[in-house]
Parts: sequence; C-alpha cells; structure tokens
Amino acid sequence: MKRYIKYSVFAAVLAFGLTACVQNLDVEPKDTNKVLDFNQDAIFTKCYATLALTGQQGPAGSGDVDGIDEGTSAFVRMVWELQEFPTDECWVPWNDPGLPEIRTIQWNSLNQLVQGLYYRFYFNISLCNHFLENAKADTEDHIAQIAEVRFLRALNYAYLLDMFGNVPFTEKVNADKKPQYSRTQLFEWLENELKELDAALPESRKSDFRVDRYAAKMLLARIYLNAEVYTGTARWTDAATYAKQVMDGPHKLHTQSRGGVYSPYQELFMGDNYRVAGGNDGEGLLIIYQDGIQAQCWGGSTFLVAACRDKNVYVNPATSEGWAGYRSSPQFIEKWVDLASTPSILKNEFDMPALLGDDRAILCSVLNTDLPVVEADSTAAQPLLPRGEMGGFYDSWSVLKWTGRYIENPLGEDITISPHGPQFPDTDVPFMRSAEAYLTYAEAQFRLGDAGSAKEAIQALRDRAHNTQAFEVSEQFLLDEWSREFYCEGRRRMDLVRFGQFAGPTANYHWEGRGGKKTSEGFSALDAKFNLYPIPETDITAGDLKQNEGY
Amino acid sequence: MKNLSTIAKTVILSVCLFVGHAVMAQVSVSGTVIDGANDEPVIGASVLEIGTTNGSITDFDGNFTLSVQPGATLQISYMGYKTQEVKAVNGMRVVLHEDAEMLDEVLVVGYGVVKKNDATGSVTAIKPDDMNKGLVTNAQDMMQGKIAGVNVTSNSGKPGEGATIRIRGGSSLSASNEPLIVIDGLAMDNNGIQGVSNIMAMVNPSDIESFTVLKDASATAIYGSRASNGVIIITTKKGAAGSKPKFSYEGNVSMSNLVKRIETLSGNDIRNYAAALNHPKSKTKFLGLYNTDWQDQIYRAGIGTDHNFNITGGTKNMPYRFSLGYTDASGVVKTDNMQRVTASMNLSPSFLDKHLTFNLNAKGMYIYNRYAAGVVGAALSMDPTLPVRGGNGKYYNGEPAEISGAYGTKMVDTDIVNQWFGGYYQRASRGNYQDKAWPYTANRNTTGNPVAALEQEKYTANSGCFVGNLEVDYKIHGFEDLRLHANFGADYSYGKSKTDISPYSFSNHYYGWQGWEQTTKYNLQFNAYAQYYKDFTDTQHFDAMVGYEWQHFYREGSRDGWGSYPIDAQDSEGNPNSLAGQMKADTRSTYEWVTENYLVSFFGRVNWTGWDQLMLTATLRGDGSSRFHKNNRWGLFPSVALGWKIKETFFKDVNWLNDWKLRLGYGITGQQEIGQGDYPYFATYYITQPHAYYPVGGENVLLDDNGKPVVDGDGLPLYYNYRPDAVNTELTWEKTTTYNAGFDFGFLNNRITGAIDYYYRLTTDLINNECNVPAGANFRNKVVSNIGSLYNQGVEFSINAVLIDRKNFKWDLGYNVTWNENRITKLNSGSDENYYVPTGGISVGTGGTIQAHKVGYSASSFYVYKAEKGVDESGNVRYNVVDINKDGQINGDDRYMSKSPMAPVTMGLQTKFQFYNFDLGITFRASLGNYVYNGVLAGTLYDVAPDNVYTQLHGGYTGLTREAYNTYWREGMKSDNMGSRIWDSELNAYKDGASFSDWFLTDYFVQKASFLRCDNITLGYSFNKNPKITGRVYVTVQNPFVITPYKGLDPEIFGGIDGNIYPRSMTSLVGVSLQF
Repeated sequence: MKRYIKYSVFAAVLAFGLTACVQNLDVEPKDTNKVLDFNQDAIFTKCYATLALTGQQGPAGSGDVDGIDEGTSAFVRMVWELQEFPTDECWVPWNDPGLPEIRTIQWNSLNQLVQGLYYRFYFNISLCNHFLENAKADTEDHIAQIAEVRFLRALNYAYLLDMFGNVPFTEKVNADKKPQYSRTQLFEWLENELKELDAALPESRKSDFRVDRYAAKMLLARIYLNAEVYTGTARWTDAATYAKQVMDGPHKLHTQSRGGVYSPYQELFMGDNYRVAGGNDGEGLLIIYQDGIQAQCWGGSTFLVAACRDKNVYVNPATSEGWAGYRSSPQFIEKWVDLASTPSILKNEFDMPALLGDDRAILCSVLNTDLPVVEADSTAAQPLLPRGEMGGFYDSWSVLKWTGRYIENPLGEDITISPHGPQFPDTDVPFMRSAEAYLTYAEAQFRLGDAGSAKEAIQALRDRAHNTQAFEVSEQFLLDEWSREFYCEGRRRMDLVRFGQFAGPTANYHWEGRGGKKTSEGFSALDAKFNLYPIPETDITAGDLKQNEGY
Repeated sequence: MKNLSTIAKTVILSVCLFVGHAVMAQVSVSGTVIDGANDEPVIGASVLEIGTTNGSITDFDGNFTLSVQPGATLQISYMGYKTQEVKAVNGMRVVLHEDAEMLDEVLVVGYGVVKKNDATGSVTAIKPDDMNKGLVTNAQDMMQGKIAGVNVTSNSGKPGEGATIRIRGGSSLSASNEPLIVIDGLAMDNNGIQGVSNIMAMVNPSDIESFTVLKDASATAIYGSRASNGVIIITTKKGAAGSKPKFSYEGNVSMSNLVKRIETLSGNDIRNYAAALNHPKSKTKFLGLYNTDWQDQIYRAGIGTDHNFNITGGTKNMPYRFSLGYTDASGVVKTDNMQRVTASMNLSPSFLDKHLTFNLNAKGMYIYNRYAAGVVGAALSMDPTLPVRGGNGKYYNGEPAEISGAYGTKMVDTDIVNQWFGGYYQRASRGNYQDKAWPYTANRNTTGNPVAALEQEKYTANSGCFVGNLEVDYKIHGFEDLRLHANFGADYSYGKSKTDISPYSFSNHYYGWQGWEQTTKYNLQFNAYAQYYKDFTDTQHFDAMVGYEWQHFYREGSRDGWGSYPIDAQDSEGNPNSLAGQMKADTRSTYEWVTENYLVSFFGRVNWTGWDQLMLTATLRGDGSSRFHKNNRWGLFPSVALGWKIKETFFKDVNWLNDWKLRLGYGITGQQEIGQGDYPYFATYYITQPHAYYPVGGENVLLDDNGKPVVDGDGLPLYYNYRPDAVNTELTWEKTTTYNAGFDFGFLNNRITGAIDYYYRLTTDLINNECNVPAGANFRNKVVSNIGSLYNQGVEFSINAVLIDRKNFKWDLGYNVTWNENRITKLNSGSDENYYVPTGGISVGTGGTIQAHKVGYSASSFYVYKAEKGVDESGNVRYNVVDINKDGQINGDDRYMSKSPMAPVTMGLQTKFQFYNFDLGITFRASLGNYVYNGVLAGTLYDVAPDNVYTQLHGGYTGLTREAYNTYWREGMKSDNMGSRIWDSELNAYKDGASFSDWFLTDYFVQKASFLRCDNITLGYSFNKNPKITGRVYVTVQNPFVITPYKGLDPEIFGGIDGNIYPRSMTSLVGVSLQF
C-alpha cells in the first residue's frame, strides 16, 4: 500500500510538471523587431511607402513581394517596365527572367514579371485593406488618412483594371474566396469609390508627399478616358469634366525654370524635383518620395536614372550606378525628327532640345567621346542607330530625361554622384502630374469633336516646352503627343491600347522588336489577347480564377 | 531541469570518489595472457586487482607480474576482447576471447538500447575505423560512403567545413532535410552559428565510440517530430569500471595540395587572342606585359596538425574518460586557417549495487577561424596580363596603360595603385569622395584583384560551444523490472564573426568596413522514461517504456557594421576633414533578433519477443511544437515493426547459415523545422529597418540615438512603419510515412554478413514557402503552407565479408549500394500541367533559376531550354535552342524538365588488408547518374566572345578559362551567337529563327557528373615491442583521385549547381597513435 502512495505522489508531481511544460508551447514572439498590435500611423506610413520602396530594409533585404528579384519588385519599376518595355518608346537589352518575353510581346501566364506586378498590386491592396479594416476615424488626420489609403487602394485597382482586367476583388484580408470582378464591375466600383474620394479627400495636402482630392479627380479622368477599353462604353465627357477640374485646380504646370540652368520640363525629373513638382501648388498630383540615404531601393528613381545610362553615357547621372538598360527606340526618335536627316553629334541633354526647339526631347546621340577608347575605335562612336533588328544597349540614343542631379547645381565637371548619397538618387517620382489633365482634356474634346479646345490644351504644354512649331490635332498627333510629353514615365502601353495600336486587328503600327510574325507585307497583327496581361497561373490555381481570354 | 547545481554536486561527488584507495600486505603473482583464437600472447592487456587501482599491463610475451592481496581477484581486459575475472594464482594462464561483435551486439536506439539480434528496424551502426580514417576534422566525414542510404557531401574543401547529410533522399522541399543528431542522448539543435559549420563539428572525432543511423520510421518514430530525415546517434567513448588509467595519444601532420585546378588562359594567350581578333590599339593598350597565374597567387599547400590525448580508466564504481584535442588546419587558399581545441569528460559512476547509475558528459570546444576572402572566382576572371602589384609602366604596346576613368579621365595606373590600392594593381575610375587626397575609386564593374582581397579583407570568427548532460538511471529496489531514467541536458553555443576591410580594398574602397555578427543559442532539454522488463516465461519476453520530453531552443543574434572616413581624410579643398577616422553614419547597418521554440513530447514503446524468433515493436509518440497554432499543434507518430528470425524457425541446424532475419516496418514521422521563423501563425508586424523610411506619417517620427527627429537632406522628418507579416494558422506537421522491408543475413560463421532493404517514404502536407496563396488573402503572395506530397523509394544493399582470415593475414571488404528515386506527386498550388515552382537560383544572368519542382519529377530537377548542335550556312558548328512546344516562338514555355542533381545510385567500398603488423586500407565512393549545372563554365563563357573579352565597362580585358575558350571556339557554343530552331507550322518543319539570348539556361550546361572517388588510402604499421607502449604509425593519402566525365572542377556538388567552390584538395598525412 505504502508503495502505491509513493507512486501516486510521484505520478502527481510528474503530472504537475508536465502540465507546466506543455504550457511552454504557448509562446509569444520575443523578437524586438516584431510587434503584435495594430498601429494606425505606422501602417499608414507603410501604405505610402509601398509606392516607393520594396521592403522593410533599404535598399533591399526584406522584400514585400515573393518570387521576383526584390529590386525589380518596386511598384514604380514594375508598372513602368510593363507599360514601357513592350512599346515603341524604348528598348531594353537585358535578359532578366521574363523580360525578353515582355520586350517582344510574347508573354504568358507564367511570366515572372507579370506575376511580380500582379502580386505587388495585391500586396499593396492587402495592406490598404488591413489599414481600412482596423483604422479609427477619431481625429481629423485619421479621417484624412482613411480617405488617402482608400485612394491608394483605388490606384492599385485602377492599374489592375488597366493591365489585368478581370481580377479578384476584395476589401478584406482573409482566406475567403475572392470574387473575380469583370472589367466592367471593377470599373463601376472604381468610379463610385473615386467619386466618393473626390469629396472625402482634403482640398489640400496634409503634408508633403500625401495626396489631395485632385489626385482622385485625375485618376477618375484617367479611367473615364479609357472607359471604352474597359467597358465598351466611351465616357469622353466625364473625362473632360474631371480633367478640367484638375487643370483649374491648384496644381499648375511648372512653367518657370527654378534654377535657371535647366528647362522647367527637365526640372520635373531632377534630384530635388519635389521643389517644383511637390507642395500644394506643384505640378505633381502624386509624388513618390525617394532619398539617397533614408529611402533607398533599386526600383524607384535609381532604376529610372541608372538603367538608361552606363559609363559611356555619362551625362548628368548623379549616381554611381549605370546599368545599360533602356534606350530610346527608332520609332520614338521619329516622333521628334526625321531619322534620315539626323544631325551627327548631339552631345548632351541641351543639344537636342535646342536643335528641335522642344525642351522635352532630352536625348543624346553619342557615347562619351572623351573616353580614350573612342579615339581609335570607330565602332564605339554611335552617331545614330541603324533601323532594323534592335540589339544591344548602344544601338540607339540615350534617354536622359531622368537624372539625379540637382536643379540648382551648376553644370560642373565630374559630378558623377548625387550631392546627397553616392548611389541612390534623390529624384522623387512625379507619378501623376497635372500635364496629364491637359492631354486627357485635349483627347476627350477631340473625340467629342472640339479640336479647338484640344489644341488649346496641348498648346499649354508646348508653351511650357518652348515649342513654337505649328501643329494640327489629329488622332495620330494625339498618340504621338502623349509620347512626347510622357515618354518613359510608365504609361505608354495604356495609350497604345486605347488608340487600338498595341495588339489586335486594328494595330497596324509596328516598332522594332515588337512581336508577331514577320510576313512579306511586314508584320502580322499581334493577337488581341496581348491588350491585357494574363492573370498569373499561380493565382488561376490558388484563387480559382478564370483566365483572361486567349491565354 | 534548469537546476545546474545538481550537475555541479554530482561532479564534486564524482571527483571525491575518484581518489585512490589504500594498499595492504601483498603477494606477488605472475601469469600469461593468451589470445584464444590463435594462442598468441596478448600484448598490452590490462590486469587489475579488483577493488583497487593496483594493476599492470602484459609485456611483449603476454606476461605480467603483480603484487596483490592474498585471495584477490584479477580482472583481465583488452580492447576488443571479453573481459575475464579470475582468482589470482601464481603462474596463471588466462585465455581471452575476441569480442568482435561487442559493438554490434547492442544497438543504441532512441531512449534505450536493443540487442542487435532483436532489432526490428533499419538500423546501421558503425564504429569509426581507427585504422583508416584519414584526416577527419569533422565527425560526419567518418560516415562518408560507409552506410547504405546515407550520403554525406562535404560543402567544399575548406578545413572544418560542414557537410550535407541525406538519409534515404530528401523528404522535404523547403523544410529541413537534415537528420536529427543525437549526441550521448542529447538531441542537438542543428542551427548553425558563426564559425561552426554544423553541430557535429563540436565532437572530436577521436572521442567517438560509434555512430548509429536510424533510417526507417519504425526506428526513428520514437524521436517523432524531428526524425523525418533519419537520426544519427553518436555515442562517445567511456571508461571501464575498475581499470587502470590508460593513456593514449594520437597525432598527425598533414599537407593539402590542389591536384586539379581550372585551367585558364595565360597572359600570352590573352595577348594572342586580342591580336587574332584584330583589336585596335585603343583596346590592346589595356593589356599588361605579364603572365600572372592568379590561381598560383591565391593557392598554396595547406599544412595542418592534429593532436588528441585522452585518459581512460575507472575505479570500481567510477569509470572515467577525459580527452583533449587540438587541431590546426590551414586551407589551400592563402590566409585560410582554423584552430580548434576540444575537451571532453565522461564519468559514469554507479551506486547502490548498480541500481543507481549516472552518466555525466561534458564537452567543450573553442574554434578560431580565419576565412579567406571569396577569391576563387576572381582568380579565374582577372586578366592574367596584369601584375599583382604595381605596374611599372610596362604594357603590351610599350606605353603606360590609361585607366578608363569613368567620366573622361586619363590616368596612368601606376600612380593609382601605389597610392590608393595599397600597392596592388586595381582598375580604377574617377570617384567622388569629396576628398582631394582620394580622387579615384575602384572600377566596380571589373574584377577585384584577388591577391589584394586576401590581404585587405579579413574575416575571422571565434566560437565556443558547451554541451553537457547528466543521465540518471535507477532500478527500483525490490522491483528491479522497473527502471527509471532521466536525462538533463544543455547545449550552449556562441559565435562571433568579425569583418575588417581596408580602405584600400576593391570591395569597400575609401570608407573600408568594420563589422561583426554574433549568435548565441542554447538548447535545454529534459527527458524521463520508465521502462518495465518482464520475462513471462522462458520464451516470452516483454518490455514497455513510457516517457516524456521537454526541449527549449533559444537563439539570439546581432550584427553591426560601418564604414569610416580614412584617418587622413581631407575635404575637396585639401583641408583636413573634421570627420577623419570617424564612422560614416549612413553606412551603418545594425540589427538584433531573438527567437525561441519549444517541443513537448510523450512517447511509449512496447517490445515483445517470442520463442526467440519473433519480435514485435510498437511505438507511439505525441509531439507538441510551439511553431504551430494551438489547433494543429500536436502530431501523433505511431510505428510498428515486426522481426522474424527465419533462421531460428526453419534453418536452426544449418550451420553455414548464421543469421537470416526478416524485418517489416511501418511508421510516421513529423517535420516542424519549417525554415520560416518560429512564429508563422502569429499576426505580427515587422518594424522598418534603416534606409527604408518615408516622410509621411502621424505620431511615429523616427528619432536618433539622442532622441532628436531624423530628417532627410531637405529637413523633412521621417517616420518608421510596420509591415504585417504573413500568417498561417492552418500550418501543421509535415508527415512522412515510411514502409520498410528488409533482410539481414550472415553466412559462414558470420564471415559474410549483410542486409538488403526496400523502403517507400511518402511525405504528405509538405511544408513549403514557395507556393502562392490567393491574391489578397494574406500579406505575402507566398506563405509557408502545407502544399503537396512527394515520395522517395529505394533499395539498399550492404555486405561485409572477411575474405581471408589467417593468423597473419586478414582481408576485409565492405560494400554498399543504394538506389533512390524521388518524385513529387502533388502540388496543391498549381493544377496546370505546366505548373512548376522555380528553385535553384544561379548567379549567371539576373535573378534566374535553373531548377524547378514539378509534379512527376524529382525535386529540384533542372528546368532548361534544349540546346541542339547544328551547322550554320557556312558550315560552322552552331548551337540552336529548340522551340519545344512548336508554337513558332521561343519563350519560357520551351523549357523542359531535364535531369536531376540527385544521384539515383550511390555506392561505397572499403577494403582493408592486415599482414603481420602492416595494414592497408582503401575506401572508395561512387555516385552514378547525377547531373551538375556547370555554372562556372556558363559564367565565363560570355566573356570569351570577341566583343566581351575586352569591355570598356571593365576597363580592359578579362581572364578566361580554357574550358570556356574551347567551348566557344571548338564546340561552337557561342554565347553571343546562339541561334534558335523555330517550328513553322505552315512548313511543318523547323527553320532557323532569331538569335537566342538566354543561352546560359540551356541544357548544354547540365552535365553528367557521375564519379568514382577514392576517399583515402592508408598504410599503417603497428608496433608493440615495448611492453609499456603500443601504437601505430601510418601514412594516409586522402582524396587522391576522382574519375568523372564532368568537365568542371569537381563533380560532387550538393544541389547540383556548380559555382566557384573552394576546391577540395588532396591531403597527405603522417600520423602516430600511442597507448600507454
């Protein structure tokens, strides 16, 4: 009996010990880099930061999006690459995974860049949804925050509408099945949301780098402009209405050079451009912050500045990076000048604007002739591109529009790095600017039959660019003028699609490197499916979705 | 369980017991010890008067003399023989019998031991072969090639480098595939720390008594959660009770040499090539006049020494063993060095008439490492026409070369090297440090001088580990069938690596870099079990065990690093910079982290043996892991196994057949080493780290160390932010179900023994972090989830034979072969037949992957374009990529699942001759049917093209490998001119298409890498002339040759992607071992 008592005590002690130890399994994260509680202001900051940065550590190391090189995964860069690389504005010789298929319009639903963009949008949307599910409208600033985050979510959905069309829609972060909206459904949701935001957003910015209601008006004008593509029903009048409101709003075109060295147009794309594009009256409606020290990533203006240069294209980089990425295409150059009568040497960012009488033509036709190698090597001097198969980085002219140099920095020698950080330019990205309202208004009025109003709006942009040439507004002229004003700003595919010149039976415009079969007559038309990107295969399966037509 | 004072008390108590006993009146006895097998005298046998420390050792003729108390009992023992106890009589003759199966007899299994004859699972034990172990700086090397189904691949040729161990293929995709390592009953945490390649590195190889590898689930399931990839149990040596202290020393001196290097073009070759390409003077003036063999410059003969000393013995109740080891090994890359000190102690006292026994183990290790800078690749791509140091103004065309200053500068490079690169040759470009004294910087687009890097980049690590455990075993008085066992253990490791890079370096010019990173971890565990033995009748044996285990794993780490202004920094005007010598604040990168996890388990086992013919083992284990959400935290892991001694049932009287046993097993094991942090089910937020701030926010203004707001260049305040982490509350155990059937056999007096096993291991609920969740459903697009299933199946065969067994000539042979097949059977995240999960990143190109997981294929198979050899219009060989899916274009869809990096067949062969006092041992290992992506070739092939060998971006020419040069010019595999074969659906035939740019993703580079490697050859001579000292001297050549069709440096690459690995060398060593 005694023995049993002994064992019972033993068993009891054991049982007690075991219970305590089982409770050890209920851990809480100890890492001081992690927190458990929702912090409204901190998530609000992140919602904006997703536009500019690729993750929680600069320039890389803790990316937001999986399955793609972190530097490539930036919102700005992904949108830019998939709106620009398949078009007539530029050419990229890189062979990053998926890029050759983008360049030649041969992508499919397994394309890594298509996937990367799609998941960038949905990461941003999930973040905004999380904020909106938890945010409290308890102070005036918090009320504004909620409206701004709704705008950021709408911006991501607007790009999904434009590039992917029929996509899953959600306002919650959870595992429930997400309904797949048709393009029309998503358009209608966006229209309502943006109209509400037009009222809910503040009339002027709460602080630098936030948005006011003019950003919502501009986005609304943009979806109306493309409404026929999205829904089959044109909305030209609505587009003109909202564009006009932006034109009449506080965000005026930047028309007076601030530094006195560069043109006002060039100043929009420089290291301290927020001085002219930011603020409550600057041209920028949505300015994405970049800083050489505090906000570093490989996919913002570092990409825009570094990718169009290398050591032989030395003009004004203000970064130590030179990636030999995008170049202008012959078709783009033809929008400015007849290739057959090209001047021989256009050395820097001033020569071409001066020659053409348009500040916007910030191109350069030669490599760095000061380099010793060029002296004896005839192949290195590239006065002009050959028209035909596009090849390497040196086969066309450089685009010098984006630079890290400061507006007020005199044009001295040897400024190879930014006055601030040596590698990452400070150039903010004027992601939406009011010049878009002018062209939107012009195009909408032209479609409505009012070529006079159209011409007037375009003239405002040409005046700012000091272009005195006479012009007549036509459909082709409008398509070209969109390119002249907004080249390499990440919107060209959308414009080509709207003008029926990207893919499909009406697209009879061909540019170097464009896909499709070469026939005796030239090129066969690209399949109309390419007017939309495919839903990534991964989400067709994971989200149980229907693929876009043709893929 | 955290009460360390208990351990301390035991140590003190043990030391007290160790003190010797008094001696009384004596008589002298002498005698002879004879080997029963051959009537030869046994030399060096230990003779001990029981109950005392009084003892002697037999001399060369097997004789001993000892003064003992009248009527004393002597214990005569010798390693490898059964110990005898006999009454002391003068002139006694003691016959010792070999105990060759001493180790084999008892198998260490989880939470207990089992007689080998009664084992039901697939368990292989090996004893390290003292005669032929070669240079072993890490314990895992001793298993290489020795055990069927166990593949050990060293990660590189760096001294003390870790290895990847796979038991019966990998059962997981992104969760851990590492086996569980148990050292003296303590299940180790396999997470590495700075300076320690893996946890096995902390056991001194010469302390190891045995390795036991548990392969199938019936054997491993008792370890449950951590055992899906097999278990390796390491038991260290112990003293023997009542034996005189024995000392032994082992030492060796070794030299490592590279026998194979990647052949490169010489300086003359490059100059001739440039001339043949008609390069203009504007290019060739960048060529130097030298013939520098950069590989000669970075490699050397690596010298190493290894010393181990130990004392083994025991009083009546207190066996003990102490050992001390020191290793100093220098790698073949200059500056690479490792120094290690290990110490271990084992005490295993018993009390209360052996009812209460203790086993106390303590092991400590300290390692200092100096790692060579990563220069193996740079030595291939550095232009051999250039000098190591200086430049002397001598160049190919007779004039000083000009540095291609990035922005139009001309500069004679000798001026630069001496001032700004520490005297080394380095290609330069115009910098902008705003410092008049430092106008140039390294040209970042070129290859850095590898010799300079060795000197200017210093990477060191200091690491220490301590592992200790105390096992207590108590047989209950009066109820001896019941045994209680408890094991308290702790494992503590600390590692700190330091980086110190000179401001003259290529990598961190001007600001230099100083930094450190450290990790501290500990693992506490406690387990206890009760075991009940019962022999119901003579033929029915039964035992049962129930137990409990608790484990806590804690890890924390931090890092810091920064550049500084040089001490002579000036401003752009040439005045002293007030910041000289100070940290450049915005380069600083610092981080701290802490994490932990717990495992709690309950387990039980029942064994039944009937009629000495049938054995049944059933186990059940339940594991709770803190890595899973409450609702799916517990995993249940059952197993059952049956053994049937067919020999005993049907062939009892067949003398030539000694053993024939059937084993059948089934079991489930789990996996929770998810490799994605310890908190995947928590909704957490991750705080912003430096350089990722944004100037928008509410209250969360970023403050500096002084509490002041941090502002950007324009004075805007910055804000920190939070990012929600992905959450998966559904994540649960990955489970592997194993079926195993095997036979053990022994013939001809067990001179031939062996085993054959078939296994099938199905892993379900594969944990993977590479699969996508629905867009918008979570905060990442890829969330660690349970995503699919795969299986491994295979056959293992091993045989050991004593071919010749004469008095003075013995020949042993051991051979094993394994066939393994790995297939993915399901991936939940994709149903499209083309769906795959990319993996296997390569450094050629940008962000590319060369492998994929796809249903129906082996995990991580190569996923590549098909390159086809053809001829162009002018008759030259040309490679074309094929439009596999015949859609008239070449894109990502034209890739296909090619070969697998995993070898389907692996083998090992060991043989040993003993002839009089000489012994000769040779071990071989072979791997058949594995493939390697030759990334070294792909990485250098691009540079061979006429337009790429000189590039303005690099500021000159590049070094080329002979293989790449031949591939380009002889094979016609031209990186700049690879064509495509496009399907023309109208012609219904292929036609030539445009050029193809992703040439490095083609199957041309997936190359056959089967190999036969001779691991080592050892020749030894044992001596025993002096009765007090016995020993052996030996010479070993390790890794003398590899036979392979692979054209790269070394075909043995885990994962199958050949980068520039630290080459494996051939090592020659001379060693001695002494016992006295």
